[in-house]
Amino acid sequence: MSLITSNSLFQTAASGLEVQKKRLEAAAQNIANSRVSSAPGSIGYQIKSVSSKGPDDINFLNVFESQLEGASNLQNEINSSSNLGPTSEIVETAKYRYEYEPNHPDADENGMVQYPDVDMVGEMAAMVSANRLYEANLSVIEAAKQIMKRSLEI
Amino acid sequence: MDTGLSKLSTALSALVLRQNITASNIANIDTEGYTKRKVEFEKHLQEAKLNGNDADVKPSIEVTDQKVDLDTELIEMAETQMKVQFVTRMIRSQLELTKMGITGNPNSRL
Repeated sequence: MSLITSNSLFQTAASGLEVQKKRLEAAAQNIANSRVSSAPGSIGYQIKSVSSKGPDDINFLNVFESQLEGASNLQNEINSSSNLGPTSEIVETAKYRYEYEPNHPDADENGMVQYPDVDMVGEMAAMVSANRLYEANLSVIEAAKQIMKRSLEI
Repeated sequence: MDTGLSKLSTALSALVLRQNITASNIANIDTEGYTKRKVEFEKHLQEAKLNGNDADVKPSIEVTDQKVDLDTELIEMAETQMKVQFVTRMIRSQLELTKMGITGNPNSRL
């Protein structure tokens, strides 16, 4: 067993943790800013969501080869990525709803105020699911640690 | 003896690879376009055994078209854990047997 490959196991789980953390972050921001008003037509608070991309097939090949061929191609392992986790980024979408509040400082001539169209129920559900998936990734790390420990006991 | 140990080490490599792939499945559980991957090893071993040549069996990564299911992955992970425990215990007892052969002392432990 190559230690660097076990390292990639931790990297993979860490990427998983990162994505879930970002989802939680996005949900927190959306909920906190759900009542941020802006004048109609201007750019107010934009709804944040996480878009993630899976690993490249070459990474699977790297992990496979380094696992079975051991340390013989150590140089390749260092140069190429063997992280099997997703890469993610927070993207913003401008989606608004309008409320009739004629006395509001941000109201336009029709008395409408612009708010971000945050889906509260959806955000709460995203929060719970991000929590659970965060835990799942943590248990992957725990399992990886157990495997390394067992190997040290041989 | 030596082939036994090398087979066990291949098995351990295959199990760590499987843990890697399970980690990938769980990390990518809500990634669009990602489908479940799995490591085939026992199947290859069984086929090789039937053909009478199990000297050089290697695991393979297969891409399925199923969506990742968290419960299945967690169960697979627990199974991999148990198998790792089993294989490491087997390696240990192989080495103990070797040592017993060298020292002639049945009570010798590593």
